[in-house]
Amino acid sequence: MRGVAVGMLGLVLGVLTWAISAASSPAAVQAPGEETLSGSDHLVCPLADFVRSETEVSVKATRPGPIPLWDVAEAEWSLLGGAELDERGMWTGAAPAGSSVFLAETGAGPSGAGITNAAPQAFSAWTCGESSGRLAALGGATLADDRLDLILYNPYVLDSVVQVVVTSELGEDTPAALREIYVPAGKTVEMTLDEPLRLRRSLAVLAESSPGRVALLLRQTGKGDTAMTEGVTPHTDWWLPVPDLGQAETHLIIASPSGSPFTYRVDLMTESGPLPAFLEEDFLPGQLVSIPLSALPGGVTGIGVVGTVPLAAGLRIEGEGLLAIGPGVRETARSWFLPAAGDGPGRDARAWVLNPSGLEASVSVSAGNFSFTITVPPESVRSFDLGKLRASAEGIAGYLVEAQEEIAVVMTTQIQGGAASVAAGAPVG
Amino acid sequence: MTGTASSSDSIVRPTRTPSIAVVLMAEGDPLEPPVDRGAEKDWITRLIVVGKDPAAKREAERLGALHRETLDAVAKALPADIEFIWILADRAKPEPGALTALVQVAVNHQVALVGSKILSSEDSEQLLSVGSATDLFGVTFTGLDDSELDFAQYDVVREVSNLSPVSLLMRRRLLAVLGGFDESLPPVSAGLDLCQRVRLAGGRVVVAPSSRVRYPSGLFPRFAGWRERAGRMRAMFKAYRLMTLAWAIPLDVLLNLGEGLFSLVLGRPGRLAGFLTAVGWNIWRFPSAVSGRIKAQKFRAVGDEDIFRYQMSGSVTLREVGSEIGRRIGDFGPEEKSWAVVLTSRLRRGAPLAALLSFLYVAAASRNLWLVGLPSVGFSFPPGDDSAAVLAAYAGGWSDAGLGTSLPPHPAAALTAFADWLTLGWSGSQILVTGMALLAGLLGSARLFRSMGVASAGSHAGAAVYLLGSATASVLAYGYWPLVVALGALPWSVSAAARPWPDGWRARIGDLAAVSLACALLAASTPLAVAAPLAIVLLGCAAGVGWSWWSVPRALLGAAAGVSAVGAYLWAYDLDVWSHGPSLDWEADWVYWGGVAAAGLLAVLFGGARLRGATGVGLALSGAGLWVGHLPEWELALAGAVLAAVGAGTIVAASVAAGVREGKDRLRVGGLLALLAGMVVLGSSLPSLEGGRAGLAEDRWSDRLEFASSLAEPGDGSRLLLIGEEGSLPGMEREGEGFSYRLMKAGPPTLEQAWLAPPGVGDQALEEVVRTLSEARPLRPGELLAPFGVRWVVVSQETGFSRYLSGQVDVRILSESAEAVVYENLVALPRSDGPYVGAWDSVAPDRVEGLEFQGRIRIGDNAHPGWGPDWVQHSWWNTISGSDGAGTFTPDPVERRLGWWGGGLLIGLAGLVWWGRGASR
Repeated sequence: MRGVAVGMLGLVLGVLTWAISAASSPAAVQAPGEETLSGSDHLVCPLADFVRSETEVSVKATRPGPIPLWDVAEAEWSLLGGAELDERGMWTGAAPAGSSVFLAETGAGPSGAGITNAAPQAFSAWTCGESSGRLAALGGATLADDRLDLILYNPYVLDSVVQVVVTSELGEDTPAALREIYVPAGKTVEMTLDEPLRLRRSLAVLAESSPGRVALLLRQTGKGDTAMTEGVTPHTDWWLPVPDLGQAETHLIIASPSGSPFTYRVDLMTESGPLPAFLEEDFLPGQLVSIPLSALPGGVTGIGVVGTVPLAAGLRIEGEGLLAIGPGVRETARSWFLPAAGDGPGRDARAWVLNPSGLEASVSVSAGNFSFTITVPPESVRSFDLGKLRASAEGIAGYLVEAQEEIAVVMTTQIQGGAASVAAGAPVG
Repeated sequence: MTGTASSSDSIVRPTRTPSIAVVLMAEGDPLEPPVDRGAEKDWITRLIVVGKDPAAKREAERLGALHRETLDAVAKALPADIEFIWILADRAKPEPGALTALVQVAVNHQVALVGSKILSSEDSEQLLSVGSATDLFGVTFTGLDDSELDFAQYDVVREVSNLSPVSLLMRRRLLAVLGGFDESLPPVSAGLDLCQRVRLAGGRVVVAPSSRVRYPSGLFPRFAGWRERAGRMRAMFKAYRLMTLAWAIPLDVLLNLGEGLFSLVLGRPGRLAGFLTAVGWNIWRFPSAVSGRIKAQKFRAVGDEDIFRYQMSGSVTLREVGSEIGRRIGDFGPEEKSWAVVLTSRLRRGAPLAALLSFLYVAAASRNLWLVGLPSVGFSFPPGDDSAAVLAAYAGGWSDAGLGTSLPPHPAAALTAFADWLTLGWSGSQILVTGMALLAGLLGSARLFRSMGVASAGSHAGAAVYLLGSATASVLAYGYWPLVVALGALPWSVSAAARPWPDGWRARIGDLAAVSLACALLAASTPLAVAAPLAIVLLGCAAGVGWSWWSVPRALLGAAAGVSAVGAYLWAYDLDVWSHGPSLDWEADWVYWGGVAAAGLLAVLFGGARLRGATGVGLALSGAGLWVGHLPEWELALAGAVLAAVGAGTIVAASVAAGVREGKDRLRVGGLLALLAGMVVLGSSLPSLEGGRAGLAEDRWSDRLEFASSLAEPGDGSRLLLIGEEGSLPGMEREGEGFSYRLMKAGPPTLEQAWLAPPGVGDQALEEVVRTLSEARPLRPGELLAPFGVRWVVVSQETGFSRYLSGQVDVRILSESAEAVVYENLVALPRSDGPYVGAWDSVAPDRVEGLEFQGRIRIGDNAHPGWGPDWVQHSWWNTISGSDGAGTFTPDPVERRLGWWGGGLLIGLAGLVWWGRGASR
């Protein structure tokens, strides 16, 4: 009987253990996270120029002091020396000519940079950022005299293979020779799109690199101007202040790398008030949406685009002697950097501030020790002439646009001939 | 008959008085002249005492006899007029007429070597020897039954293979030519050797039964023990032609290995060990065997067939094995018994069959371990090349696991390094340990279950479940190799504690040493399981399996010894060994345990009173094991798994035994149900046959990291950073966000690296860097990893971590596969560097050397003040003065002494066990 008693004790223990283990809930399964934006310690600035142009770069980092600058070309990583950031963490200077990559080791923390490329009769600007495994560039066209080049940059030591998808108003429109492009480490690959894809009214390029990561520029020449637009990482939300540059037409362009249909929504901000969900439609795979703003209610000052899956949105602004292409802003922030590069006499630089929130935003625009404050009503856009600050503060490297509310900022620069550029600001806080 | 070598000698007629020298082989006892009256006394013209020690010389002086140290010296000293030499053992007491009978046979039958009939001096009619036969391999077969009495049934003068050296009459000239006994051989083999040499020389070897000599039966030399086995091999080698040896030796080896394995199955490992020792002895003495052979062959006058003529056909060894099998199986019984009854009867006595089946089952389930080797996975890795460094690290020194630590490696790593050191770095040492552990576990657990009252057949079934059942399989699936050693040691610790207290203090000390040694090995492999033997003994005593309560203090002593053997480890971790360990879970298969419970209940109901105790113990151990096993700390869970494994094995043993016991119909049916349940549980371990690794997980790392050892510069101490999914890396891991990572020395993983110490300052810094890599995607990850000595980063494709390394400028891809990407750090730093990279080398985990330099040397390990000379911490690493050209780590003195104590304790206990066994021989 002793054996039975001892055995029963064991049975009881065993049953208790089973009961406890059965009662405990299984561990929550962690869903794999999306690739989230995070602060990198460097900025990738793809460089390109055109005839008789000068390229300048402006950099903003978290702290003042020296940072290394590199020029990556032909698989050579050349130290350009350093940049001495001022007390606000800003610097501006000349960038190397040609198609190479300018690397700025800004360190941890929010940072931003912008490039301008100015020739006597043409002007373009774009924002630096991180390289990515998935990029989209919008706003190209290959009508009549248009020239469109796709430039892929690999600033790293790993070779990259890029899968390119081109969409146009005809749908998926990728030339066979461009479907897969090998971009060696430290090199740039440039290819023309207007030859294989003639007479396309609107084009978007989607580039997915694996292995490796690349940066991307589209260089569009036409209307007597040259426009550069950088590749951006698709996102579900976009904000597009619509600048008034005296253009004849502005197109809203939307593209997505999604392989399945999804719904997108367009919210409008107009002079007479917001029009939320003005458009809500299904987006089909391989589709390119190009909406002329002239077809929309008058006085559109800002656009918000929201999708259920990541997409890219941008503007193409055309006029006589004017061609400006630029992506929207994919996140709102409280602090923005606008480069002073390219800013100067004969150039009209303006900041366009979009306030998507329901509250009035008090926005401070500063450079050096000088600043101005503007008030942006809810769900509306206001612009600010950066020349006012330029006149007061000399030798500035850039502008800071700050607000208590989350805002979206783009910058336009227009030269007297009419050529202009539009570039998103760099969120730095 | 062949002519004799002494055919040229004149034939001595019995009418002529022979001249005889008597040689007494002194062995320490007082000597007496063998013949003191009558005609025989007149024949003896010389009395010689042979012996090497001073007592022999004193005896010779006392008797007024000559003294010589060897028989060969006697042959040289005797004059030519001596015809015969009568060789007598010192305790031999010839009866009157013994010498006459010998001489008559020698003369009448022209015999070169004659032997007497030997009778017991205590029992006047007990026969000890009347010549003996041997088989081809020299194994002696007397043909006599135990205590057989002399009724003159063997009184025929006949030629034999072998004569007892107690009383031999030999022609002087033959002795002078052939020499005497081979001094290196024990008595029986020495006699065999002499007889074979005489035959080779053409002489006849005959027994003269009418020559009667008395000898103490307890001291009579018999063919037993490894020395006699070694001796007959030597005699065989000296006598046979090379052609005969070419097939006889391999056949002999095969026969003896087979007999050894058979005896092993029967729980008699001494036979195999004896054979192997005999082989080793012959190898060691090979040169003298060769010279002996040359001398013997020089006087060869006949072929080997003349030796074979007087030998038995077949093999004595095989006959004995056959007899053993027959005895155990038993006869068929009367014809009117039904087959079912015979079968049940056989099953009940089927222990050898069950033992053989369980052995074959475990051998089959572990076949790939012997054929291919141990898999490199989890915690199953070979010991590092430098076993001394591992032992030094265990004993208070510096371990280079991860980023280095002063805490000792796991005792299992130290134990394996110890075995590797003992075998001089032999690559098979860990396989040997594994094989011994599995065998020990199989035999030990069966023995343990038998001690609880379970019949043999059931005990072997239980042993198979103990080793291969779900409790152990779920641990071994993680590649946790140390469990195998624990399984081997545990049952011996319990059975040594629980067996009856022997008589004699020597045997008692041996028993206590056995308990302690087994507990020490258990503690070394799974420290917390050292409490398991005590728990089992307590439960066994409480359940009434027949163990004495005095087993408890013995088990307690064993546990204390086990704890002290791993004192260095416990001391270093402040006894907190259960909260530190791998993040593994022991998962119980509840279907399996339900089956075990069902088998247990059936055994309780139908097993009878005798088996209820064992079943109760099994159920208690299973329940306790499951309870402890579900605790979150791994070392505790492991101890629970061990308890549960014993519990399941005990239950299956009891349930199988319940099925073979006799009883009434109802009980017999119930018993068969219990048997069926037990066999189902046993059957659940069949999946272990598939892999052939005894449950260990599949190999994962044996060649994946080989590239690093070929690319690493000697002395740079380069490290690998491994990044993979949780539970996929070798050994312990550090946790990241959605992945695991760890550092390793360049090259394939080794056992001492499997365990990681709690994070030091360097590990915290590395954690920060890894986080930065995954969050900030730095441009220069190589620069961030360089201070840690990371030269390669291996990233599992499943983690997706590669995307964090795709945008950078100082880490290039070395190779890429579907499983992993290997990156090389282009700006890697060595583990230690001085005025320039390469000036200083990492010579050992606790030593760096290089150019003497009046500056600081950096050692990229967790900062610790034990480094010197002139240690200063910088950030998280060590800097020392380079003025001496060397930097070393000073071991902790307490841990060093405890480490030496642990090793010495193991060796001392092993010696005591061996010494204590001698009391039972």
